[in-house]
Parts: sequence; C-alpha cells; structure tokens
Amino acid sequence: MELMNQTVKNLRQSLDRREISARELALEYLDLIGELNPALQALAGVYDEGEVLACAENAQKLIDKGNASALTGIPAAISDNILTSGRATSCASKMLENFIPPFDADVIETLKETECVILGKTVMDEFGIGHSPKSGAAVGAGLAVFALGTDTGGALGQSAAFNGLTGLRPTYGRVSRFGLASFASSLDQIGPIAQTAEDCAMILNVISNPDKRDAVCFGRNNRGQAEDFTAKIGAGVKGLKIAVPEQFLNHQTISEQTKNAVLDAAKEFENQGAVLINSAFERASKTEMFDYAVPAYYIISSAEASSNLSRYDGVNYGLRGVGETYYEQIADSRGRGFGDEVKRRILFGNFVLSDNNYNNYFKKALALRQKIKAEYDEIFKTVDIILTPTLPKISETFDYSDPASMYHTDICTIPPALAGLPSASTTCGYTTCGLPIGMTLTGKKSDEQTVLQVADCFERIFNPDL
Amino acid sequence: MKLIPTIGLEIHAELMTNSKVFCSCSAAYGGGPNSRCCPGCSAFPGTLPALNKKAVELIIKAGAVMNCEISRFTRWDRKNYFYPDLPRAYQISQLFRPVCKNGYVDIETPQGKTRIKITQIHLEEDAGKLIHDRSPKYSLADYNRSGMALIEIVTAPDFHSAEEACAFVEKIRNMLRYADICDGRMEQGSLRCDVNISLAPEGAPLGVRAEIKNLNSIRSISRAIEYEIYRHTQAINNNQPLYQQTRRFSDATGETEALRDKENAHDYRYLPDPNIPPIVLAESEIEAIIAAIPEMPEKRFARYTEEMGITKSDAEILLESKTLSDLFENALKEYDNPKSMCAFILTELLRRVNLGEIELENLPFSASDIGRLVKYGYTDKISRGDMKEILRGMIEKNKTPEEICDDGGYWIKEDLSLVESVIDEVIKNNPNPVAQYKNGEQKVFGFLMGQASKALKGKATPVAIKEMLESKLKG
Repeated sequence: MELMNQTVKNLRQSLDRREISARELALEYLDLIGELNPALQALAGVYDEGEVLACAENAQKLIDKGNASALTGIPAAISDNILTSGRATSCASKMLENFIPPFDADVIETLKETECVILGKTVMDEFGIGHSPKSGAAVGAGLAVFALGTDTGGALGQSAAFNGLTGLRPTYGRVSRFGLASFASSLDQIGPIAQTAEDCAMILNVISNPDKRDAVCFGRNNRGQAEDFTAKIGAGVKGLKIAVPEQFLNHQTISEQTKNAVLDAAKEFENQGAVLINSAFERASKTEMFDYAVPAYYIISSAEASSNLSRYDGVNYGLRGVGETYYEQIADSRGRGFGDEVKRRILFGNFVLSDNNYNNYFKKALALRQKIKAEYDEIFKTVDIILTPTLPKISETFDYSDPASMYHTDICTIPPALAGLPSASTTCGYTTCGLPIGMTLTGKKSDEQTVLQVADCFERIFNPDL
Repeated sequence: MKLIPTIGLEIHAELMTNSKVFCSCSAAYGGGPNSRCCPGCSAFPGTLPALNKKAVELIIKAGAVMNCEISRFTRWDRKNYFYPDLPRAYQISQLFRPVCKNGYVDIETPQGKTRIKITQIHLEEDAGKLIHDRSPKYSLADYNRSGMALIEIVTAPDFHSAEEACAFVEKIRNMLRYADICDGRMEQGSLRCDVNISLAPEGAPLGVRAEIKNLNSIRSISRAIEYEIYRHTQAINNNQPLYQQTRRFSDATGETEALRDKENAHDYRYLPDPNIPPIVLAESEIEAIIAAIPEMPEKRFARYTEEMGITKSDAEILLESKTLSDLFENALKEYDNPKSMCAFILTELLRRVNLGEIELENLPFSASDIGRLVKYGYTDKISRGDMKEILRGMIEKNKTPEEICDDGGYWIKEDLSLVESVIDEVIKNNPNPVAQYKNGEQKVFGFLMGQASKALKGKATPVAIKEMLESKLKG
C-alpha cells in the first residue's frame, strides 16, 4: 500500500472493509518512521512498537465489533506541547527535557477512547514559540496520517502551507486546551493538520467536546449539540460570498507569486459560482488593520507567555539550576532551561506589562484587538469567507537573524487568531521552484463548516486524486 | 508636636468553601504535607483554573454585610511574582474589577462610634506554605494551602489608634462568622491582617508609610501598631529619616523589622487572566445570594432583647460568639423559654467552659441535649437543683441528659393514685378550710396546697398536686 498522501477518509474505508488491519497499518507507519525519521527528525519521540501495536489491536477489536469511529486505528502524531500521560512531553524545551506528565490532555483522552493509534510526538519550536515548520513535517513526510498541533498566531496554517497540507485553526474555545502547555492563553488552540479539508472535518468531529476543565471551551454549538463538521463537505461554493482583499494583496510584504496564486484561486471560486467581494476590506485596509495586528499580537502573546512560563522556576519539576539563594537558583534554571527566542519573548512580555509601560503598550494592544474583532464583525455582515495568503512569501531558507522581520511573516494568520476566528490553510499553487503556496480561508466565529466547505471545494479541483 | 497616626487595614479571610477556588482539592485545614494538592494547584503545565462558584457567592455575601456595591461584572487578573510558595509564579486575584467596593462598617470604642470605609473586597487564591526550620540548607514547600479561596478586605485609612483597628478586626471577624463566610480562626491563619501606618502632625499631609505584613492575632495587631507609633514618633522627633517599607512583626520581641524598601518593591506586572472568563451576574442572582445570608448579630440582638426579653448585657455575651448564639438558638428549638435557656447557658454552661472542662468550639453534647435538659428542669420532670449535676455527668460520661437521669435516678416519679389518695386525706382532715374555699375564699387554697405538698414532697410535681387539688375541690 502506498502510504504517502493517504487520507483519513480512505484509510477509514480500507480498515472498515478489512482491506488492511489496524496492526498492518501501524507496522507500515512504524517501518516508515524507522526508515525516514532519523534523517528528517520530524518526530521527537516515537512510541515503543509494543505499545503502538497493542493500541492497534484494541482498535481492531472496535472495528470488528462495528464500534469504530472516524479515527479508530488511524496512525497519528501529536505535538510535543500536548501532554501525554506517562510519556515524555518536553515542549521542545531543555526546561522540560525529562518531564513525564501524570495525566493526559483532553484531546489525548478522546483519541485514546477511540483507539486512534498515536505513533509519537512531533518536533516543535520551544513551547510553540517560533517560526519553523512544525507538526506538518511529520504528516508531509508521510510519517503519520494526521497530526494534532497547536496554534497561537497561525502555526497550524503556516505549517500546513509549508508542507502542502491542510491545517485548521478552530474557533478559539472549540477544542479543550486542558493539557496543552500554555504559550499565550487567549490565543492558544489545538487543531488538526492533514491531507484534506475533509480529513480536518472528520478529526474536528472527534476532538471538539465540551470540557469543564477549560473554562473557555464551548465544544458544542449554541443549542448544546455536537456539530458535524463534514456536513458541507462536497457542497461546492455556489452563492457563497468570498472577500478578496485586493488592497491587502498589494501589501509590500506579499510576493507577486503568492498574490497571483491567491488571485487564481479566487477566480476558480468565481468559476464555481461564488461571489467575489473586493470592497469589504476597504475600511480595514485604510485603518491598516493588518499592519497593527502584528505588533498587537506580539505584545499580547509575549505578555501572556511571560506569565505562563513563570511557573518554570525549577522548584516543582523541570530543570533545576544551582545557586546560593532562591533567586540565584531560578535565574540559573531559567537561564539554562530556556532558549533565546523564548527568553526574548519573556523579556518583551515583562517590558510591556511593567508599571511604566502597561498603558503605552499592553493596554493599547488590547484595544487594538477589540478594534480588529469589531472590524471582522463588520466585514462578516456582507461576506461568508475571507480569502488571504497564508504566508506573505515562500522562502527556501529561513533567516533567524532578524526577529522583527520574521514576526512580519505572520501578517496573514495573526488577525483571525487575534479575533478567535476559525481559519483553514490549503495549498493553492506552487512557486517556480516547486514549493507549495498556501491560502487561508477565514470564517465567522464557530463557522468551521463553511471554512472547510470552501477549502474542500478548491481541493477537489486542485488535487482531484485525493 | 502632636502626631496623629493614620492607619489602613488589609484583611485576608479564607472562605468556607469545601474545595479550593480553582480546582477540586479539599479546602480543609491541615492534612499531611502536600496531601491536599493536585496538578492544578501545584501548577503543572497544561492545567487550567476552573472557578468555584461558591467562592463568588461568599464574597458577594461579604460585600453585602459590609454595605458594599456589588459589581455585576467582575474579572480576574494575574499578579506576577516569583516565590517558591506560589507554584504558578502568579496569583490569580482582582485588581481592576473587584466584586465589591465602596462599603462601610461602623465600629464602637470607648471613644465613640466611627464609620470605617471599605475601599474594596476582592477574591484571590492563597499561596502554599514554606517550612524553613528543618534544615539550614533547604526549605520545604507544602501546597495544601495553595489555591484556597481568600477574600481581601481593603479599608480606607480611617483608623487613628490600635484600639480602633482591633475593634474593626473583631467586628469583621464576627460578621464573617455569622454570615458563614470565614471561620475567623486567626491562630490557623484563616484570618490575617496587614497594617498600613503613617504618622504626621495634625492637619499636615500624611507621613511616610510602613506596611506590617501577616499579623495573625488581635493582640499582635495591637502591639505592632503601638510599636510603629513609637518608632515613627521617635524618628520624627529626632529628625531621623523614615522609609516606605514592608515590615514584619515579631511576637517574641514585640518589634517590627524591615523586609524590603520601596526601591525593591515588586512590579507585579498585572494582566487580565485569559483562562477565566469574566462573570456577569444578573441583579436577581445577586439578590438571591444576599437573601440567603444568615441573620447578622445586630438583628439577633434586637430579637433577643425586644422579643425574648433577655437583658442587653446577657444578649451581648450570647452574641460575642456565633457558636454560643447558635447553641442558644438551637436549644430553643427543644424548649422555647429564652430567659431560662439564657440563664442556664450563661451560668452553668459557660462556667464549665471557663473552668476549661469543655471547649465551646468542640462541645461533647449537642444544642438539643442542652435544650432538653433545661426543658426537664423547667417542666418539673427533674428537680432544677439537679441540672448542674446532670450537666457535669453529661460532660464526664459523654452521655445524653436522658441517660444521666436514668442512671442517677433524677427523674421525678409521679404516682397519680398516690397524689389522689393524699389529697383525699387532706380534704377529709380539713373540713373547715374546704368549706371556706367552696364559699369563695380563694386564699385558703394555699394552705391546702401546702398540706398536700408537704405530704407528697419529692413524689409529685407542684403542677400535678395543684391540678388534682383544684379538680377535687370543684368536684
């Protein structure tokens, strides 16, 4: 069986029709991991074969009894900032190098109940703070059928775009954050990266549940019912109003290639019967909403990170430094435990929250965030979906030397994250050297169905084989 | 030069919730080290706070009894600082939108009545406890207290003496106990007080302020304030500089010492806590919570003195302690005779307490036991003179009044046929008085009653004798 580019949907059918057993499938993936991961290093921790196969056997029992759900027996990878009971969860930080959590994250509990086969933990930036391709790498390389990653300012979409995949950042509060090691609590959200929008919908069906342990988690729709996010898959885009913010596409940071790929996609949506609306963004462009979103995001997320990461003082768990006094000891623990980018954000966060700067920076960023939310409310009065690039340009190399310009690569994904809106990234073209270009579809609050519907429509045309 | 002290208080009161404020761990006092904590209150990665609604209910009650405005919109903030007793390195508290503000409480001292303004009352979580005396090399951390629900009551700088401050703390403690908000056990740390104090000549701007942290008895509050008044006065009179400082009071020396100066003060880098959604309360919800507040001491005082006819001084003694007042009220459910009940409780029961035989907070019998004992005494089931003896038996043998009366033969046995035959005899032997009575001379009844009582001493109650005699004379 060719495993590269296998979808959850196809494998579900193969498993349910007994074309392949859960054990065979798991073994295939373990083999691939054994072969490719040493070079790729996409997985930071691979589970023992015995453990993986035991889970696959349990999955098979559910399948044989006819009790399989969408993810039963499907091999998956999990971002290493999502806690897995009894399994190392390092958040890619030296600080938590040897941390073995005593409990599972809510999403892990759910995956275990349905006997989804977890193969291992993916590499990531320390505590999810940074700009390298993350959970998507394992899926892109075919080491897992899908991955659960985390998103604060667009990581899921960006990771999907880098790897030619589909990533969904659900509405803030849709998926429980219980067991996710916090980076910026008002932005953190768990979501899927997979081959298709339809797969993302199937995965979201499983992982979005109400959870009292996360006070912001709603899980259900406003009638208290579970939603079927696959409901509009295959429905096309006829009659849907899609905003294409042309002024924004002319923004200095956005490359010609990216702009053209997105405009081509827009044209395709028009061919499929969607109504393109260019005027919806006029006001937002005039107020430079996107330009202000980036600094607002970095102020808010760094402030929250500085507070969230304070618990790593080496007293209760994690790396313990040495020192004559408590303060010397924690300075040593944190000095050695955190990497440079994390330290930079902590310092920045402390700066914007300090007595003299709170009003000038943090308070203004909160006000900007409210303005951005209001701006979206206004735009969504006349449109169903907003189409933007996922990354302003696709580079073949990363330049880490200038953090501020790195931060601006988030210009497309930060505004919906700040507003807590659902967005999906899917591939809309390729650069001249063959790297995938991603586009992001942003929907109204809690309207993942339409977001996935539009992404799915494009995928069926762009990549009919999947 | 006359210097006037200006004092403000911050009182921390632990709420009487069953579980902690942001997790489901037990909020009971004590327990083995770290036996009452979970990944949540020891700040493991991935854990999130889940608000205990009961804590919100209790702070609303506190605000209501202290005449505060109750905010319908309330929010949580993080106060960031590193200390090993604070596992998250931030305390969830309320800086910007506290639940209660702008209240007042009236106090009375020998100098007269004063109204103390309450600036705000907010909800927050307690920190853990550090144990430093096991080793010179390390300290131990116990997180049982970490995450317990606290309210902080912040007053305006309205006090000018230790006496006023102490009267206020006592009053607050009593109010919190009556409203079932906090058990007020200062020795266990469930009520603690910070004192802000400065001295200045009358009419002059306020002087340099010192903050004395964590005073855990009324006596230390008083001693710390007196010491600070002395220290500030000395410094001002000798032209020595004073610094804005946080200080600690030592019970052993009776003095305070500096912990840190203003230059080293924390910058707490407050930010709204994104993990706990703001609470929006409906007016009707707030009203329902306030309506459920138990009766406060002032109301009980009025009821005791006006409806029950108890003297003001007795009522004050009963109300000094909620436990005693509750005991009294519950005992009345057995026997509704407030004056007799009050008399017995204040003399006999409190005597046992004062002798140290029993503790009010930990009585070996119930209020209902006391109620029944008093009922038996005042309805002549037992001799009133024996009540003291029976109470002692209840304490020593840990038995009910019925068991003690059974064992000791305290019951007055009434043999009605004996009463009848004795009264028949009295009537037969006293024809003249009987005839006088029947002719309307009521006063001879006492003579006949005396004759019968003498013959029936200890064998029948006066009520039984009187009833029998009356019916015989009418018949």
